[in-house]
Amino acid sequence: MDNKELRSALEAILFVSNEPVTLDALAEALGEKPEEVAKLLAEIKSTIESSVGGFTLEQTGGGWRFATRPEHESVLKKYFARKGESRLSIAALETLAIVAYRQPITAPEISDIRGVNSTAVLRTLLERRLVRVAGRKEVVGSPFLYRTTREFLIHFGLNDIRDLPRLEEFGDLIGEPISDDVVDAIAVQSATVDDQTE
Amino acid sequence: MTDEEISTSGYELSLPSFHGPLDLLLHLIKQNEIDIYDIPIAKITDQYNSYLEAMEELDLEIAADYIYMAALLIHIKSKMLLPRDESAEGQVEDPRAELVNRLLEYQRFKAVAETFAEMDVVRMGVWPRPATTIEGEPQEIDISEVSLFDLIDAFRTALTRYKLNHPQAIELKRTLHKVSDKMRELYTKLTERSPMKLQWFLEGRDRDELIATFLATLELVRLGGISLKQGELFGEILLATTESAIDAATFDLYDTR
Repeated sequence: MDNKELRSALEAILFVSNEPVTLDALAEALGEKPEEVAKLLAEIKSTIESSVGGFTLEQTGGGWRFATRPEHESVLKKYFARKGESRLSIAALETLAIVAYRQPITAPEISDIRGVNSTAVLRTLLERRLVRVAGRKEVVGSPFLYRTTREFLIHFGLNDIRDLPRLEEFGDLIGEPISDDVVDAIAVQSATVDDQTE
Repeated sequence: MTDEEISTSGYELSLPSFHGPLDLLLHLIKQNEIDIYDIPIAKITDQYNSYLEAMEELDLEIAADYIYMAALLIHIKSKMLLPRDESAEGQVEDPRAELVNRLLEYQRFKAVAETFAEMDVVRMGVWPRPATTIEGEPQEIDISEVSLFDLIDAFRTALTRYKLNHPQAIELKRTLHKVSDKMRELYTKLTERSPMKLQWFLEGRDRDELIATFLATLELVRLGGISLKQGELFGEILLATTESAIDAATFDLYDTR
C-alpha cells in the first residue's frame, strides 16, 4: 500500500472504533512500522484540524480516536436529548487528584491528606470507573490500594499518567514561596508516580 | 462536605463552603493574611473554635474530623507555651511544622482539583463515537482489566432477570449449591465448548446458585484453568479454557469446604 492508501485505511479503522486504538494495534493491522503509522496519524490530525470543525483526532488513554470538539457540546446535548453525566464534586476531584499523584494509595492515606473521611467519595469514583482497586497494602488490616484507570486518562484527555502537570507547578498560593526542601520532596514523590500497567 | 460524605458519617454538617477542617484552616489563614510558615496558633485556634461554636449555635452537628482538628490545634498551642530549652543541642522542632506540611500538601491537591475541575468541564463536551458492537474474536485481557464492577454488573443482570421470570414464587425446598459442583459443571461445559459467555452460566439461577457459580468462576481463574475475556470495555465477559488443564481431582479438594 502506498501512503495514501495507508492513510485511508487508518481513517477507516479509526472511524469505526469507539475506543482509543493504540499505535501498535494500528501498525499491526496495517503491517507497517509504528513510526510510519505515527507519521500518518500526525498527517491525518493536521488535515482534520485545518479543515474539519466538528471533530478531531485525539491521542488519549494511550491510543487514538475521533472525538467531537468541546464547543459542540450544547448542540449535541440538545439533538440527542441527553443531560450528560453530572460533573464531579469538589470532594471527588480532590480525592481523584490525590490518587492520581500518589498511586497506589490506600483510603486512610487519602483521608489523612484531605483531613476528611474519604471512603464514600472513593466508592463514587470506583463506580464511575475513574479509579480501581490494585491490590492490598501489606500493613495491618491490609487495606485496598487504589490507582487511576485508563478511563481516567481518557476522561481528562491524557495520553499517559506522565502527562499530568508536575505537582510542583501547583505552588504555594498563599504566603511565601515554598522552600526548596519542600519542592525537592515533592519532585521526588511525583517522579515515583509510576506508569500504569495498562 | 458533600452528600456522599454525610451519608456515611453519623454526623451531619452543612457548611458547604468548606471541604473539611484543613480547608477551613486555609480559609482562616488567607482571610487573616497570615504567613503559613508562621501561624499565630492562639489566634487561629480561637477563630477555628468560634467557627465550630457558630456551627453549634446553628444546631449543626459537627463532624468528628473538625473536632479532631480542634484538639490538634489546642495540643500545638499548649506545646508552644512550654518554655523552649535554648541550650538544647541541634534544632528544636517547631510544634507547628507537621500541621504546616499537611496544610501545604492539602493546598496543593486543592489546586490540582481546581485544574481537574476545569479539565472536567471541557472534556465533558468531548464526545467519542458511541459504542458499536462489532462481533469479532475477543481479545484476551488481563484479569485486572475485568473490573469488579463488570463482574457485579453481570451478576446483577442475571439476578434481575431471575426475579422477573420468577415473580413471588413460594419455594420451600432448599437446595445446597456447592462451589465444587459448580466448578466441575463450568469446567466440563467449557472443555466441550470454549469460549462461552459468563452470562450463559448465570441465566435462570437463583441467588444461592448464582453465588456458587460466581465463586466457582473466580476459583477456576485463580487455578489458571480458565481465563476471562472481554471484547470491549464493559462488554460481555467470556470464559475460555486455557492451555493448562485442571485435574478433576482438584475439584474434590473443594468438596470438604
